[in-house]
Amino acid sequence: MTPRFALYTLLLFVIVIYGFKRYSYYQSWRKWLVWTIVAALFFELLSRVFIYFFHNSMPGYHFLVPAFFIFYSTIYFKTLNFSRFRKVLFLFLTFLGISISIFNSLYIQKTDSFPSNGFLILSLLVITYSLMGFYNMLKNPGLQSPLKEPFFWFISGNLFFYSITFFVFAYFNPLLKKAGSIPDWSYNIIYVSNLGMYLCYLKCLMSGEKQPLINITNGK
Amino acid sequence: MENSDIIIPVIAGTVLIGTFFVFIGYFVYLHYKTRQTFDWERQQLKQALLQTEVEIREQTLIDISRELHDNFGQIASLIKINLNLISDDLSREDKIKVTESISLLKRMITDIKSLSVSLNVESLSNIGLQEAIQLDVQRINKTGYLQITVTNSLTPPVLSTVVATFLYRITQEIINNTMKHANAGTLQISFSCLNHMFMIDFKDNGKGFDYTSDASNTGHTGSGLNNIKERCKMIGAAFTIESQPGSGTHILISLPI
Repeated sequence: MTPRFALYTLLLFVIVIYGFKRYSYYQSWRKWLVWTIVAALFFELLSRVFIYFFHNSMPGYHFLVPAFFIFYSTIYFKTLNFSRFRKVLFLFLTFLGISISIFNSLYIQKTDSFPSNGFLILSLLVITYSLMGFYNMLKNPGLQSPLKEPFFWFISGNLFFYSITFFVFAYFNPLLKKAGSIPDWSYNIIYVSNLGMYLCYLKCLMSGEKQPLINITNGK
Repeated sequence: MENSDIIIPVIAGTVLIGTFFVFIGYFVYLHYKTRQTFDWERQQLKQALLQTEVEIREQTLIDISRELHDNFGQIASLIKINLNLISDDLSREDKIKVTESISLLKRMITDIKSLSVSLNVESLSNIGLQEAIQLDVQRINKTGYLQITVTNSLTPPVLSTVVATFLYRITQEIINNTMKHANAGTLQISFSCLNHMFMIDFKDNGKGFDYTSDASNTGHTGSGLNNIKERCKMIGAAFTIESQPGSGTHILISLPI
């Protein structure tokens, strides 16, 4: 296990522990975020298992992409206010994204290679939803600074990481086909931006008011 | 990979990250501006709601006042006339009882009249704020619950009916609070004018309370005081209160004129 990977998994582990500690206080979308991070940690560890047994970490990431499609779509579905038409469009795009990523894993970038196409589509979708999230926040600004809003940190982290990921994969995908490898620093950029995103998630889980544990109905 | 191949993504990456931070900065700024606009609109809505609430309350009080004056007052007057008529044919003992009843009725009619005046702000435009308060004070002093003294050493400033109504209701609320909660024997009300400020000062000798502690512990200061504060805010008046347990309460309302 490299120090880079150890630091990364440690960060995920800390966020997961923190998330579960405050789990009962979260609205449902933040509970889903905790599970998203659990999934990320699980698939990262699974990739190490694949390395150990098959000397190839890639199969784990092929499961990660569709899982992330589902997690992110659920979170955005719960947080963004959609009209009926947009809800249908949203579900259609999610379904399309999952289908393409599975098709990509089965026929284009098979399990022995990194599913960069799947990540490209996921990035495109998450960037779009994050921008919609920013727009929504401007339409309903609330009473406090956005820096105190958990949702702001969630969409900022996503926009930061996935725009960099989109750029890196879009730029290097053709290069990878031609040259067969991409420079190490591109992985470093993704690694650092990934840490940045998870730090934003941590801030997201730390921000906001605690939710009441009891339901108050009919004013009683 | 050649140098030129590295330079392009480095520049592009820098531009991308730079754009991200500019975007976030601009978003925070826009959010702040939108929030300000929303806050302003919320305040306006709150003011409008409060204004409507005050208008409805005033209208209700006017209706009650008219009912008191035109209906109950008239009935009481008729009873008094009837009692006067029947008293001639009665025995001496009964006559005494009827005379007592007539004097009680007279008192009741006077009370109804003054209560009617106190509830109806239409009379404010005729008699003025200080005079209206003076009438209220006379009525309360008669009850013996509280002795109120009014010091009025100035020519009454010209106030709009709305402002006068607000100040009148604020004064009534303060007197009411003093009677209900302060456990005070006396209350001093003084009107003064200083540096284009019209000031009404209230001082009682009651039990007082820890205003700062009450406000910070409970997060509210009671609906009565909140009402007064809101009303002061609506007419642009400043509201200050000083109180400590055992040393009475001092309230000052300052209105720029």
